[in-house]
Amino acid sequence: MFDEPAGIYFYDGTNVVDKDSVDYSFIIKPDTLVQDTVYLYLRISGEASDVDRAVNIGFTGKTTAIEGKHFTLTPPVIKAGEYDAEVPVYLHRTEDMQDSTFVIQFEIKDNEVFRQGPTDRLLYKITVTDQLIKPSDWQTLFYGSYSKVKHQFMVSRLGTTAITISTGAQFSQIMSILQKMRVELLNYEKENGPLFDENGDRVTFPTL
Amino acid sequence: MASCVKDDSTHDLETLNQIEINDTTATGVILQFDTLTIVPEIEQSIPVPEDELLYAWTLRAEDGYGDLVFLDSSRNLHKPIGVLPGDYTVTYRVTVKSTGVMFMKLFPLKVINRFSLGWLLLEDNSGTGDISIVLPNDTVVNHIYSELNPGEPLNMPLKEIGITDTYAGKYINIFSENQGIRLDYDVLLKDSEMKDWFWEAPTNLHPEKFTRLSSSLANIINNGLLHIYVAGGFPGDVKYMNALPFPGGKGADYALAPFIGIGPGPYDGKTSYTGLYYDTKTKGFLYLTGASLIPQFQFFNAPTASGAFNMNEIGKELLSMDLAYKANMYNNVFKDENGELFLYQVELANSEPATLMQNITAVNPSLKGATMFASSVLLPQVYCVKGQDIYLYEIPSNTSTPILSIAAGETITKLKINSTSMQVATWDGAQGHFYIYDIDAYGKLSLSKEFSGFGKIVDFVYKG
Repeated sequence: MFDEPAGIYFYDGTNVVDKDSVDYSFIIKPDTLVQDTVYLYLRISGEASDVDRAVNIGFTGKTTAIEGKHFTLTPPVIKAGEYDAEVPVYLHRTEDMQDSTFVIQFEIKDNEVFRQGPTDRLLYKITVTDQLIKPSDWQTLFYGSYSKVKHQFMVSRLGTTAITISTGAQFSQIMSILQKMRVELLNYEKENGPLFDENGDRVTFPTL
Repeated sequence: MASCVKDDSTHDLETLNQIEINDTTATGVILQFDTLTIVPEIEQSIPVPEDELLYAWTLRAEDGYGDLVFLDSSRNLHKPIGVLPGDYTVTYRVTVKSTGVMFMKLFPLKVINRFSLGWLLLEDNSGTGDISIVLPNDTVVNHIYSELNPGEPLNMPLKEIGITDTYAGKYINIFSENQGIRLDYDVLLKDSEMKDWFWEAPTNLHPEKFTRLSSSLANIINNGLLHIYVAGGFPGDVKYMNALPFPGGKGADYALAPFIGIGPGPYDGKTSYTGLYYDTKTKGFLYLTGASLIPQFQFFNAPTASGAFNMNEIGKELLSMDLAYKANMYNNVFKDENGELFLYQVELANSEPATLMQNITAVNPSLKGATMFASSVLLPQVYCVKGQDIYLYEIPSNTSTPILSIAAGETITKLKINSTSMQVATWDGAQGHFYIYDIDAYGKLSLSKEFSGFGKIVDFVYKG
C-alpha cells in the first residue's frame, strides 16, 4: 500500500484569522522578565501516527535573530496519535533589543515523514524587540506629536502596545486611550513635575 | 407470468382505528404570556373511549430551529405561552394506546410581544429586584424580568431604569448600587453587564446616572466620574471610554452630582454645550464639548452683565436638575448649608446660560425640607414633594401652593413628569402604588389612574 507522508503547516488555532506573524515587545513587560514564550501552532493533513514524528522547521534569509542568543526553538514534534502541536519558542531579553528589532522567520520544510502543506501556511514570523517603534498610523489628532517618551509613557500606563488601528486598537478605543492618558499624565506631573521628551519638549495630549 | 401461493401463516390483518383531528378553536395569534386554548375535535373510525388515547402538545419555532417546548399532555390545550415573540408551530399528537399508532395536527402560532408599550416599574420585592409593566389597556403584569430571565437575579439595591437608543442599538438599562445590566429593548432579555460596556471597566462599579444625549452619544456617571459613549460613524466595536479628566489639571479629582442635562449639541452653530453637569467638589457647573471625537469638560465663561449668577461658583448642594418649559432650559434646585432652597435656571442655547436665580424658601418657608422636585415642561412651575404633600411652585411669582396630599401612610418613592401627566410611585410599608395624574392648563393635578400591588417602586420609565 502506498504510504504518502502527511502534510504539515502553521495553523493559528482559531481558524478565524490566519495569522502568519506576531510582534513581541519586552517593553511592556516587567524589568525582571528575561525570557518569555511564544508558540508556533502546527497542524497536519493526513492520518495521525502511532509514533512521535519530528518536524523540519528552518529559518529563511529574513531571519536576523540569533538562535541561542535571542531565541531558542524547542525541537518540533507531532506526538503519536496527535494531529497538531504547540511548539514553544523561548525569547530571550537581550541588551541589543533596546535599540533593535530582530526577526525570526520560520519555514516548514519536507522531511521523511512530513511534506510541506499549503504554500501560504509554511512561513511564520516573530519580531522581537525591547523598544517601541512609532506606529505607521500614529494618531496625531488624538495623541498629538509623536515622541518616544510619550509613546513609552502610553504603553507603560496601558500595558499594551495596541494604541492605533495598525497595532490592534479600535477607533472607539483610541478615544478612550486619550482620556486615560490625560488623567495619567496629570497624575504623573503631580508626582514628578512635567514630563519632557527626547527633544526637550513637554509631553502633552491634545485638547480642543 | 404469474403464480399464486397459499397463505399458511397464522398472522391476521387488523383494521386500525383511524383518527382525524379537526379544529375551529385555535386563534393563530396570541400575546406573549396569554393562555392558548385549543379544543380539537377527534373523530375515530373505530371509536374507543378518549382516555384510551394519549395526547401531547408541543411547540417549536416555525423554522424548525430552537428547542422543542412541551406544553401539556391533556386532551385539550389551555396553557400560558411564555416563549419569545415570533412564529411557531404547535404540534398536537394523539396516540392510540392499544396500537401505538400516532396521529398529528399542526397549528401555526404567532406570538406577539406583549411588552412593546407601557410603564416599566423597577421594584424591590422584599429584597428581590423585578420589573412590572402597566400596559396601555391598564393591565398590570408583574414579575416580567424574573420570568423572562430566570437565574439572572438583579443586583440589589436597585437605583434606576432607563432607555438608551443610539446608533449602536436600543436597550433598557437597569442600574443597581454596584452593578448595571442591559436588556434587549424588544424582548426584555438580559443582554450584557455593565463591566463589559467599557474599554477599561472602572475599578468601582457604582453607576449613578445614565443619560442618552443624542443618537450618537450616551453617558454614564459612575462613582462621580463621567464616561462617554460615542456611537457610529467609524468602524469596530464601540464602548464607553475612560473617565474624562476635570479641567484645570484636576484629572480624576471630581465627583459629579447624579444629574445630567442635555444640551443643544455641538452642531447647532450656536453653542457647544452638549451636556450639563454639576461637580460636588468645586460646587460649580461645567459642560461637555467636542463630543463627536474628543469629548472634554469645559468650565463656563465668567458671567456677562446679563448673567444671573456665576455658573462656576454655585457653592450649594444640587437636589434636582430638570428640563423646564423651554427647549434646552434646565431648572436646578439647590440647598444651602442652612437648608434654604434656591432655583438656578440655565438655558443651554443662550450665549449667557445663567438666566435666573431666586431664593425659594425665603418667601416660601413651607417648602423648606422638600426632598423631591419635578419641573413642568409646559409652564414655569416646579412640583415639590415635602412629606405627604405636593406643592406647586410658580417660578415667575416665586409663590407656592399645596395642591395634593397622598394617602396617609404612603411615602413617595419616585415622581416624574411629562407634558401631559405626572407619575407618582408610593410605598405604604406593604405594597407599592403607581398613580398617574393628569395636568391641566394651569398645572393642577387630577388623578387619572391608580395601580397597586407592586413591590417598592424604585424608578420607572415609559417604553413606547
